[in-house]
Amino acid sequence: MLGPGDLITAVELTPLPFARRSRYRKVRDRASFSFAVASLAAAVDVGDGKVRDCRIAFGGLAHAPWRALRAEELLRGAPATQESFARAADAELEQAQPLRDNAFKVPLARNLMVRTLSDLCEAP
Amino acid sequence: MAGTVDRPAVGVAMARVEGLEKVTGAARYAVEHDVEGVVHASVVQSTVAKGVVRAVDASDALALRGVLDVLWHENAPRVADDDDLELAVLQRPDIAYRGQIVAVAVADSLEVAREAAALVRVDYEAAPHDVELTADHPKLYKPDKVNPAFDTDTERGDVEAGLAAAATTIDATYSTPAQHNNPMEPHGTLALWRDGDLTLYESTQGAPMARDTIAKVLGLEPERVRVISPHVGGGFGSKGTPKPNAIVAALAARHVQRPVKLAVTRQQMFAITGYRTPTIQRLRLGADREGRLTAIWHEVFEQSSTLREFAEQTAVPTRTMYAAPNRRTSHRLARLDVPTPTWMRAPGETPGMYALECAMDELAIAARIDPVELRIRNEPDVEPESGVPFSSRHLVDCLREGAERFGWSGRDPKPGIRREGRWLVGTGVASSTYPARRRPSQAIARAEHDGRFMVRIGAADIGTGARTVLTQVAADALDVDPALVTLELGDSALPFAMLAGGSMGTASWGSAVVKACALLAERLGELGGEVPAAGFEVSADTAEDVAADERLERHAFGAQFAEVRVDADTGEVRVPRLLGVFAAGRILNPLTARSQLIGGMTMGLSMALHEESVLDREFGDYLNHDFAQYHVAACADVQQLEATWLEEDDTHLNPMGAKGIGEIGIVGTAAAIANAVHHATAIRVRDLPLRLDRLLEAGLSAAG
Repeated sequence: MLGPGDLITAVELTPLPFARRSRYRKVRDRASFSFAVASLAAAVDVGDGKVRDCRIAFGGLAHAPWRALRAEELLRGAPATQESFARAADAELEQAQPLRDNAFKVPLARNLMVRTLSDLCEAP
Repeated sequence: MAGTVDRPAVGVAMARVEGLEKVTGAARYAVEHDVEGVVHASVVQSTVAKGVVRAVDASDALALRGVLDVLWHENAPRVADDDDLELAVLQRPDIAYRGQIVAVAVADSLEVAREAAALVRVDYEAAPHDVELTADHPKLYKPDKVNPAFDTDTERGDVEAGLAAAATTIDATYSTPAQHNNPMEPHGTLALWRDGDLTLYESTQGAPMARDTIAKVLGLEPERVRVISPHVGGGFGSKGTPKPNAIVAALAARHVQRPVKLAVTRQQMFAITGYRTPTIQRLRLGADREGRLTAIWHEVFEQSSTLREFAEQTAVPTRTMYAAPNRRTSHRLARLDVPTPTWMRAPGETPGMYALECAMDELAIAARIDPVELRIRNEPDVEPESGVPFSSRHLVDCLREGAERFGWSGRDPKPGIRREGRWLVGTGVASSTYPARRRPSQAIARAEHDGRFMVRIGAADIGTGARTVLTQVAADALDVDPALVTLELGDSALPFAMLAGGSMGTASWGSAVVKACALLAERLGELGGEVPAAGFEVSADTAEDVAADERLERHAFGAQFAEVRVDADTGEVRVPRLLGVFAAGRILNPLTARSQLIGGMTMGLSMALHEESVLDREFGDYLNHDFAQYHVAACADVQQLEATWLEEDDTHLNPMGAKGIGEIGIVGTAAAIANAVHHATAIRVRDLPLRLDRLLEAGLSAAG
């Protein structure tokens, strides 16, 4: 926790070798010069048709990046299939509290996560 | 002079004559002009949508070093005429909309003026506002006329009986949001008084008409006002008539007795320089078994401000497009506590044809008829409501030519079945139309002793290429090389001319230029081709010619075809292909014409996918005040974009045989794209823009 007067002087990122299989997807209303309506960053470690490990984070859903910890937890050890991804996405987005004008972001985030993870796992 | 050139200049893809000036930055736009002793003005805008200004405290602003004064309704010079309350600025305490100008700070630098404006404290007595247009709004009424002088309602035959007798009917409600014109150059004025005469460097679509309006508001003889605007960075209708900035600058300059520059900011343009009204449109169509329309019923609901009635003619194109024995159109307007709407590129046709052409697509699907064929089957022999013949009408040829070029034949009409990877793919078509009119204008043609020619006309080149095209027109009328002709425009001191609006510029100005140049050539012939040392000039006025034009329906037509891709997971819509085929008389310059047409189509794409001024119900104005939030199509949104035209020989228009092309390009584009989105997704979104949230809310879902 930062205290008054503290300055961030460095951010250290631990190497994540499996993030070689990763993807970032930005959904936007126009093709350029546009903030993300929703975005997703994901890295997956797949072996023997199973998810060994993964990291998933959403942008554009809340006032801060949304780390999909519940989905990550559910996916570890699960089959790397569209069904697993959909179940994990639904579990993650159960926590969402959409408002009148952004309710569409729930199906959008779900579709985005399922599609991105499916594409990642199909990638050679 | 005769026979001095090998080929006519008209029809050649001549580059803009002022191109070098523009790309080198030498061309001066309104507030770029410099005059001695100029000071700067910055406006204060109302923070309430309805109410009155109780008091203005300018003490902090006046205490800033460099501030000359602050003006508001109690201390500003009086205007002479308040017929148009939008232009009677700083005259009364009443607030008609949020963002209305309530005060102006004048200082010796722009920075200080803005700081001073921010320090002005305005005390309001706010009243509840009413800003949201609905189809059952209690304030809806029937205006006397719709823009500019069309019948508000029309009725032919028995529309209920026509619907009852139909084999297929459509009843659908469409909406278009408020859209802001947003030309690249914001509005701006440099006002300068000298011995009681006013000169304005003004970003305007018509210097002579702006001069007359401004003179009337200020109570001056028109000869005492001069409006200069050699270059204008677009207007799209919002600079067709003067906006409050011109009057504020003039009043401020008179008050501080210095030249005043007032540069409207992009953010301010969302309140004080006009926009396209939102519309709600209910379309009812009936057709027999062969797809022939038995009834067309188009109802329109739209808004204006409490200051000024602007009733957009949204259902007017529906009166002209298709044959049907039974028809009804109507417009209802609500005067709300909102900024004043105005012309925006093809007012009327743009929103109206969006609704009509989507309804035609829905009818084609319901009747199981190809949408191109449906339109061909409903081609009228004469204008369907007036019964007057068309001067020329080649809609069917445009549809056929477009279908051929686009590869329309063999299209499977079934929606939502084409998939390429993550994309759902679809195609759509819509018709375009725009009237081809002309108005009286005057011009002077002058021969110089050195063999050069000068043509003077109070026309406007708002980036369209008018200066170039009129140079070509003049060169042919004089039968000389266009390099010998200099065209002067953009100044109210030049002969009176129609403004650049209603796609009437080239037709109106060109008529006057041809007349003046032909007369000059004739007179010079009488002089034996010898130009006197002092030069020789003649003037022409087309008022009588225009009044004598026979009664015909003059319109340009076109057909637009779109291919869209919709991301099956996210609803992102992209338009890989857009084709427009137009029949618009003789094309005078293919380079500038293509530019106009693809510019219009791009704006139509932008309307279809992006543009929406979002109403803030709580504060009562438009929320998105800049280009980060008010989206217009970016380069990446425009992929393969093609505009082409048919040869159209129409001798009933004007000496050039030309129809205006500044607006038709935007008409129909949004419908073609919306129809293609339906074909791709099987989802019919009737409310523009077609954003991904709307498709997702309507049930688009593919993943998992």
